[in-house]
Amino acid sequence: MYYPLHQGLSMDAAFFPEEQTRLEEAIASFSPAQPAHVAVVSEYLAGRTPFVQALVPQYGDRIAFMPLYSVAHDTGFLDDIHRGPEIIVLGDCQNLFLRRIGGFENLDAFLEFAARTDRMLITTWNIHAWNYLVQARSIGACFPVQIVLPRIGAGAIKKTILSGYTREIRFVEDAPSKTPVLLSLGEKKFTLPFGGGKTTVPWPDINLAPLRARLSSKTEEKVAVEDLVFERLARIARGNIGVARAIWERCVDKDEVRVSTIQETSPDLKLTVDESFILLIILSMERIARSDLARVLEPEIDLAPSLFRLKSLGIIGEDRQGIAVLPGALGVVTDYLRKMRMVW
Amino acid sequence: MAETSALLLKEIDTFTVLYVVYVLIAAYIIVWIVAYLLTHFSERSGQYRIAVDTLIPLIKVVVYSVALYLVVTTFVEPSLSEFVAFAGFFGAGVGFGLKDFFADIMGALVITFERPFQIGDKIAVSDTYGEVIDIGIRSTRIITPDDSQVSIPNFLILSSAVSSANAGSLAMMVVIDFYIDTESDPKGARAILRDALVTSKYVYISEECPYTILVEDFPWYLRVRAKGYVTDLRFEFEFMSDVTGRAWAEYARQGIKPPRVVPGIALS
Repeated sequence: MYYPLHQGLSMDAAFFPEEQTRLEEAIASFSPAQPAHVAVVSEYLAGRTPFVQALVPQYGDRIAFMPLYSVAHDTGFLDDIHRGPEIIVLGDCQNLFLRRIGGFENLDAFLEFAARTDRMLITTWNIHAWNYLVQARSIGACFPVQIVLPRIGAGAIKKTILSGYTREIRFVEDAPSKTPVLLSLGEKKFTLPFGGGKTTVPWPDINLAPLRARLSSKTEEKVAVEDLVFERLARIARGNIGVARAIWERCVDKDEVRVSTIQETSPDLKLTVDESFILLIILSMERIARSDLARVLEPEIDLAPSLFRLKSLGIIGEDRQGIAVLPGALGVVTDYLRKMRMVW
Repeated sequence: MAETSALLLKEIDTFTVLYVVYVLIAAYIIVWIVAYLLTHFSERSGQYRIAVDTLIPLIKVVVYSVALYLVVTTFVEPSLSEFVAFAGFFGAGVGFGLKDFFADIMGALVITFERPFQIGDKIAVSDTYGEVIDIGIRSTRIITPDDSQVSIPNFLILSSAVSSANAGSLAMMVVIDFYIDTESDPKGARAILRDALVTSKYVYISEECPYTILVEDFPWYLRVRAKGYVTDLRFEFEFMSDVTGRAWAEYARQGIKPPRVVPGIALS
């Protein structure tokens, strides 16, 4: 069974015009004799699903979207691909493996299929799972086109979030701010000399609106606070639109947003190796069922006490779909695991 | 003779002695505080732990050098003739009774600046293996895997072959050997060991730190060897234990057996 792509182009896809162009070029140059498979890689909630969903209106019946909502326990998904059209978008491919002995069988089957198929496979991956698999299983070779979605700046986040409102939002500066309003950190892609390869570097996103507002007369207070809110939001979310949206929804109350409510979840994490490993699995899989997590950890690690501790720290949450890192804690968790050298 | 001494040395009184004592105590306290703070900071620095630790011996050398200079200039006028005379006394002292002591100090200087290893490294000197926890003025202290603290004179370190398992990096290669029966499936054994290695919670893999799985045929057994890097050298033995335990459990499930002859006995 495969799923038709969602109709309606999400605004999130418009954040990545360069990446969109690269993806369209890859599709345009596709031929069954030499299918150049694509890997679209991003952080949790950073917008890769809307990014690939935006292909639907353009390619119609030529394309099918098949998201893996949970860990694949068999190779049944390959049957679905066999029945699909010439371009398959396979979402959340981190669900093709489990980090345990024997947990790579479905991934191996998929990679073997990818090497022989005449269809074009556009896959999306969590960036931490992708980086791990590139090193542990050399999957990079199967995907000649690799698109890493960059972080986005405060201006783009503001535009997207406010586009969802028809009524006016009031911004209240109820806490003194030490935040520089002019600068936030995004990413910019550069072409390297000689080799011609591309690399992404952190790039300041300069926002002159607050400065202009301060120089003007009447709207000074309102514009400055508004930009302050979104600059802070972008900094806490680290340019991740999904995280920014989650924090925003938590902070907006009756069409009013107070600066003081936009705070980073920053518990001073000090975890055991087992807890860190559990956190790593959750972060890499983005959302994982408790039973699948238990399969990764058994029999060495007792899941329940560690999960309880991580929940009590306010960094993960569990619902019917599974366990996930809470959006507001994504930056803290990633930093901690990077410090522990568990994510690369 | 008394006249010569008066030329060489400044007048020594109670204040001079107290000054020297204060300088030495202050140097010791400064070194202790800085070392404590840097160690505390390094433990919270994750992947930068060893880089921070590197500063400790350097600061020790600088502080003690300044203290020595202050002490010496308290007693000796800084003229050329007195300096030469002081150097003569100093050389004689070193030559007669303090040779080893000064050899250790010179060893500390060489270790600090040449850096054959750093604080935080895992080194092997003669038959001693462990993590370097301090490079002192006289000796280097290491903690062995069974938690014994061993002080090795710096001079001895300089005159011996020293191997550093990680050479300043937090990641360290760990080699894990498995011996299996010759009738067992080597391909399956290799695949299981690869999975056990790359799925370990302690593994670190990058382009600079790749992993390898090797199979070698011996007369009485097959050796399956995993080489991989651990995230933090402090987890060296936990890493080995984790991979070994999970791999053997899977071997047992897949019918891969240990050799019928113990390797050491077979070879002998």
